[in-house]
Amino acid sequence: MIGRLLGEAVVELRRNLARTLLTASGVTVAVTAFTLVAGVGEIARNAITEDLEGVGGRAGTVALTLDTGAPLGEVGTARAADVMAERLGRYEPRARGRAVLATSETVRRDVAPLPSKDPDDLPCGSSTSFGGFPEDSSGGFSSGSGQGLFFSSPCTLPVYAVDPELLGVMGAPMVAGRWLRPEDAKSLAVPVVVSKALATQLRDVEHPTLESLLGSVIRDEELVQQPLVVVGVVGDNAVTNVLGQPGAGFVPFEARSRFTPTGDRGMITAMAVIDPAGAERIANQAAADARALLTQAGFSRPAVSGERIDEAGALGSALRVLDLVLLAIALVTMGLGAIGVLNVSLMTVRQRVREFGLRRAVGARPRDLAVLVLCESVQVTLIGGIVGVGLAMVVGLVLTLLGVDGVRDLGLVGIVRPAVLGLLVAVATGMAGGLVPALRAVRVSVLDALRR
Amino acid sequence: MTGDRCVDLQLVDCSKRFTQPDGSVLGVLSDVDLSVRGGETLAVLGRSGSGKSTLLNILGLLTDPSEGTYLVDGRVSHELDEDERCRLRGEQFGFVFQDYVLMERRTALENVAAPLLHASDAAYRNRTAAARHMLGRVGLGDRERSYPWQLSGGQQQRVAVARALVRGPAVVLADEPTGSLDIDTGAEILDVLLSLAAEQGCSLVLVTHDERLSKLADRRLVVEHGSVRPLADGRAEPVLP
Ligand SMILES: Nc1ncnc2c1ncn2[C@@H]1O[C@H](COP(=O)(O)OP(=O)(O)OP(=O)(O)O)[C@@H](O)[C@H]1O
Ligand SMILES: [Mg+2]
Repeated sequence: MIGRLLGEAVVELRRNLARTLLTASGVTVAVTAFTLVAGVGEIARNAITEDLEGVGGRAGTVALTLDTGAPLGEVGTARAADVMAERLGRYEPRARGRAVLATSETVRRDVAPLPSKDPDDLPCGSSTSFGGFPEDSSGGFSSGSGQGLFFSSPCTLPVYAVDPELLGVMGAPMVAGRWLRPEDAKSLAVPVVVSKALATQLRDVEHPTLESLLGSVIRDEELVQQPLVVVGVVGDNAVTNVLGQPGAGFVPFEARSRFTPTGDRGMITAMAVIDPAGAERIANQAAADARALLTQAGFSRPAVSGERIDEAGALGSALRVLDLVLLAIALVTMGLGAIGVLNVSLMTVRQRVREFGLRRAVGARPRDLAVLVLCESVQVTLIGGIVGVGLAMVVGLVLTLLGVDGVRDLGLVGIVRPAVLGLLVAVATGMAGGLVPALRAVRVSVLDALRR
Repeated sequence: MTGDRCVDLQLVDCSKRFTQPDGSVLGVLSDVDLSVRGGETLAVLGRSGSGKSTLLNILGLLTDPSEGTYLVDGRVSHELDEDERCRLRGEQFGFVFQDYVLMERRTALENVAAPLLHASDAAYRNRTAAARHMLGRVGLGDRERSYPWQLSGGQQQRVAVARALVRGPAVVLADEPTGSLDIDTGAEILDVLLSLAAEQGCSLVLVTHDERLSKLADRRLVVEHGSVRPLADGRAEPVLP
């Protein structure tokens, strides 16, 4: 029966070309507008999310921290980190990773700092306030082609050994260079990604920009066994700051024993991004579980704390406002489209009620009429909708070619989701419009329908 | 399309009332007893507004009597649900409406084929040929691609006749099929209708104003003051020269 009605619908649409085109063009306009708004909205949403996460961390970031106070040794550290990461992994994390405070030392640089207008702006404070290194220490040197960086003004350089996946947890943007890769653990010189705050401290006359720091070597003969090669600079946010104060270095988890002979410093952290709802509760639960498991595994009274560490409050409300605005615009455009479709279908209601009355007199059941109308509507709105999506893509392409700011991402791929959504809404609208006369024809008696 | 499908229609004590917009009740038919046997032709006469169309609509399951029982092939009409009514209307009845009711944006051929949309698979596949055959029988073989607005009133009426017969119904209900035709054409159409009905073995209930044409039927009835009474038997004298 559906096949027969589909064929009947095609004839109906072809014979009522004016009506078909009017309906289809209404749908086209609505879908074009909707797709563009939704596409632009998606870009804005991503941009805002990225910006906000860059500051506040990803919503729902939780951390389990085991503070041992003393090194646990190679095996103990990995074991504890694994247990905690495994506990967090149970809560359908969108990202997770392990981190260990590998070293946290006061080091110095011996290159003159960049002149700064504001004395408070001087990196690492004044040259005398930190102990441990005499002014004339010659701890750093240049060797080979690499330019060594070291510190005449003493400052703290906490280095974390982290899983490469941890970038996904932190949600911080890369400012220069690249993040750690799995294969970095095996490279000869240990790659390090420094946070922007630390990178700013490391800048000097020879390395005035963040980019120029890339490829340079951090050395401190006494404390860092192997040289660290700077491969990237990552932004600071609420989450990276939890790993020590602003300013830290990140090296591959597996490579940590290669540069710190004294062993891990006893701060072991596992992080994950989970559903923000109930994140605090889950963090506490996971901490309790990890405590129990670690005790079983022979750790004596492990001090595991669990907490939510992102600052996503602002993030949520900003996006909620954006969503509301987009929803309003989408509703208005689809509403306009729906009014257009309804208008056309109401114009023909009288004629169609009579037609439907006749169809019932020659054997059509009410449900056949409904299906017929749906076949017509779906065909019309699909045609209109596909043209609409095509138009939106063309507009997007033109905006891209014109180089309108921020539209670069509005490519063919970014438009798929809103386009599918737009099509669905269009089809629903078309159905609603077409069903009005069908329902009317079924509600009134056949006879009344025939007399209209 | 054989003569063995005899469907009996029977009205028992049927009344029909309409409620007017001002709230008053208009009795159109009261206590009507009527039976239509399979294969017979029946002419219904009566003044305008007497209730002829109403009677036909009840017979065709387009409306229910306000009181009384209507039996279609032994089944009580008001116990049928809408799906069954639609099925029965499509399978057992063929309608020729007083004002044709053709689909405006469909050709004559498509209008005639419309009932076959709901017929068996075989009949559906064969719909164009069947419709073409029927159009030929009513003398419109050369107008199958015309739209209703390109046809005269009489031609439209003939399209309606072809549509009523295309699915081989058990009963044809024709409401003044000759009303808009000159006397000769009217007689011609009626002739076609009667011979097709005879061929297919179906009953024919025919509403007409024309006393002379009514005589072509087996039986004649008059609707008057809400009741239906028989008239002297038809087929008394030939109308056509
Ligand atoms: N749906 C309705 N609502 C109210 N009154 C109706 C309705 N249908 C018919 N009537 C009334 O019932 C009476 C009979 O109408 P019907 O159409 O059966 O007459 P008829 O005999 O077919 O007349 P004609 O020869 O003019 O076609 C008329 O007075 C008409 O006004
Ligand atoms: Mg009438």
